[in-house]
Amino acid sequence: MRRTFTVLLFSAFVISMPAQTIKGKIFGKMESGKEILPGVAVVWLGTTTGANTNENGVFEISSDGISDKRLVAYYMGYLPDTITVGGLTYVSIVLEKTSQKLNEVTITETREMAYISSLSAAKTEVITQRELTKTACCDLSGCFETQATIQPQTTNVLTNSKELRILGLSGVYNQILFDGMPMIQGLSYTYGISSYPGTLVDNIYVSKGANSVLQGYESISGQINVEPKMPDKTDKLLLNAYMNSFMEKHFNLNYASTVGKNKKWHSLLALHSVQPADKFDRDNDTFLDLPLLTRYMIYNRWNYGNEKEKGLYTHIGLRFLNEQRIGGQKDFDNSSGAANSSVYGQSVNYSQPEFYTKTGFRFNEENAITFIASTFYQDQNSIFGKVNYQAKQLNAYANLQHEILWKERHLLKYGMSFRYQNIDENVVFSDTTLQRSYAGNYLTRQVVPGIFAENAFHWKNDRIVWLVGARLDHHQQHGYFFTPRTLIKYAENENNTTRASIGTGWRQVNLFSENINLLVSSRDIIFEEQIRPEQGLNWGFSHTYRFGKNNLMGILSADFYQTFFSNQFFPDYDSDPTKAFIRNFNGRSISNAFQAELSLKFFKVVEFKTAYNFLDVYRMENDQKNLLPFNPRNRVMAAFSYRPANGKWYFDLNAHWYDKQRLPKTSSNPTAYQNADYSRPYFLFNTQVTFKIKRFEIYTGVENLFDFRQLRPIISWQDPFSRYFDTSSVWGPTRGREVYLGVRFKIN
Amino acid sequence: MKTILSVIVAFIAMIAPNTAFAQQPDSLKTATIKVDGITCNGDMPVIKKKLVNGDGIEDVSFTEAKNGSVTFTVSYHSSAISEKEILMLIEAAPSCDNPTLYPYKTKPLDEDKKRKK
Repeated sequence: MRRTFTVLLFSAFVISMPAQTIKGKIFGKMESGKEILPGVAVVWLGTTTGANTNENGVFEISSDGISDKRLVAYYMGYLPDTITVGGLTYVSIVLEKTSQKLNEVTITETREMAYISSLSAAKTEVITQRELTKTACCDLSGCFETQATIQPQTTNVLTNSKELRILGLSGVYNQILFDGMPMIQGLSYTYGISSYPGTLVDNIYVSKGANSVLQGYESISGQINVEPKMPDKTDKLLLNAYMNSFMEKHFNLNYASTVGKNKKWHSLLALHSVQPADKFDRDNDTFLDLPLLTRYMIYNRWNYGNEKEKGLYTHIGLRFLNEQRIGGQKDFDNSSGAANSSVYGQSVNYSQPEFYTKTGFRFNEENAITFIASTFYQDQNSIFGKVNYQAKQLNAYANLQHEILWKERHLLKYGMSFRYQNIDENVVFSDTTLQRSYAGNYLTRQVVPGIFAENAFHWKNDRIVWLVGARLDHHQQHGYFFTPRTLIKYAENENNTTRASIGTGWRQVNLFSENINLLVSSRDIIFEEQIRPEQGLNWGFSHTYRFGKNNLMGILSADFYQTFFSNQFFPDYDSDPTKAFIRNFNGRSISNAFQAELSLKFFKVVEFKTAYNFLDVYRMENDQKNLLPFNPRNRVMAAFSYRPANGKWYFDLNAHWYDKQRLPKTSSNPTAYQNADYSRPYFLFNTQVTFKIKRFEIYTGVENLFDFRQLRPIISWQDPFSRYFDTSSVWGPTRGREVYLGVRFKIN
Repeated sequence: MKTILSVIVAFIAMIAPNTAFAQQPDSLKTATIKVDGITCNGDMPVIKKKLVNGDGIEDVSFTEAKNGSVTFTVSYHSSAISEKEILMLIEAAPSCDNPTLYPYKTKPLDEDKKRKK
């Protein structure tokens, strides 16, 4: 009986033990990592009992009746592999290719360069850090060569001040934010965009037309938000050195670190310097082709916490900037710091400390409160020929807002803001031969408290997003301004997105910093009336179509925006060649802007983008249509990029064609000092090659490959102290071909 | 009596393994994870692909995006991958809009429930 019992017990275990299910996953070994393999045959060694992997690379096989628990995996193109399962219930097998030389094409570089965000209600073009590496992008004004929305325009050729135009409208009508903060305003408008080095920039968000009201009332033609590199996401160390054929040198250092016991604080320290070029005057007009620029900048950003997580978070930014620009005739000597009566020169020297913070507390997923504050001070000392211009500016901005997520999808933000700006300017003439009358002290102040609310409705799985917002602000002198804006996005499907927007904006004019040519020119300034805030309305629509997959992907987009001004300001240079009249313009002033763009990506290594812009920007004066100067009616841009799969080098080329541009009227000048009414059309080509060697990136390129130049762009350069001297007629490149070489060193 | 005892023991011995071994592998678990930072409908497939490619992950499903958030349900073998590693995989997935960005933030929903209790 005991034997019977033993036999029964043993046989029970023998029968029962194999009744086990084994699960597992099969991968194919790739150049970089591994990938799941669906459809792999898995069998027990020496049997016909098997299974196949599903679409997730997962198989399930019973070990019922199997004594030799070794599994064999077979897949075409891969070496079979055997694994001992033992007592495991889950196994994974990595198969190696039969010949590593076959199918070697492994794409690791699939990153897009610039793209159009598909989520937001506003059509937002995102220029990524990768896109920025296509050109030298030494500073912000040079970062837009591979896109068509923004047109950098020189406002003073002698000191190389620039503005960024959107929709063909002056840069004052778009709002430039750094890290979401309004840091480019008033005095900082003239040179501010050049003060941010490309190595500090992570992404640039560009949206045309009406925008969110949360950041203020000023953006009429669009918004440019420059997002700096995040301390917790960027390289630990980045070093960059750059030099061009004019011998201008740029140096950058970024250092990111984690601080504190809990490693919750992240810091980014950035140092930047520009050392001046040699003196060049290739067109022999006695004036330097480019100013001598010296800049020092230190920036420190601190991050704590995450605004999407519960609890406290804060971002703090500190920056100090010192810049000197010297332009004018080659022999101009600025060492005395005073205007020179025989040699024409311009010099600008300014220092600017800045501070900003965004601090918030998230109570839960639905509720958060955010406080934003920023301030900067600028102390500027400048000479424009025989004009001494000294200016000081204090800027402050605060914004307190509460956000509520309701019905789990709609987001309401409301709050209050306060804007303070105080510009104290002093104009002194060192020579009164020209009998100019505008010397004196100017005080421009802006004290604007405001309230705002904005709701983003999200419907149909975010296919419809409707942003509706309004703000009410009070200007200390001009009273209340109501600013409503609304934007809607409708994504018909994954490929088609249509957007529309309409909204108003207003802004206070900062006379000299936004019209630097008033100081540069020899004209007298006649103040006919007090300048009122400029007001405008913008509406527009766009459509974006995404197509293709794998080896051919593309985006086709088109948009149209129209801007009407109900009050606008511009100095009247046309009525009298020796005077500039300051008055408001209430007539018809309109911008019509159309853009069509096609981006293609072939085999994940070749990118091609082309864009066409049509601009019709004018104002009606005395029943005549006057086109705004320096806007090519037609403009075409094309960019080609080749990034081989090995990622060891890449090549970029971009080309631009500019149609003729209306130039400022000079018909009232003596014949010798007259310009043509229109510029001539021209092409520009830029190219760059980048080589990656371990942690080094060496980049070299040529801007303005075929050396196209507008020769002698200064009117009355022969007699710079005459009343006809004018530097504002720059419609094309003046410095010619520029070859550059740079090296980056990165530690991740 | 002995015969009866033998039959009972043999029966138990036969039944017991079937209940103990014939079930799903005991390391199979399910994680429910909320993912924030969704910017387009293409993000979910990108995250799913990233997860499915991970060792130990058997199946992945997700809900519709609501206000930039999606809930993923992941079946996984804890002997091969931990829940924390799954969260890291999601956060290392690139944005479909821009593969240079890693915008996703994860939160295991089970943990939240435990805290509430």
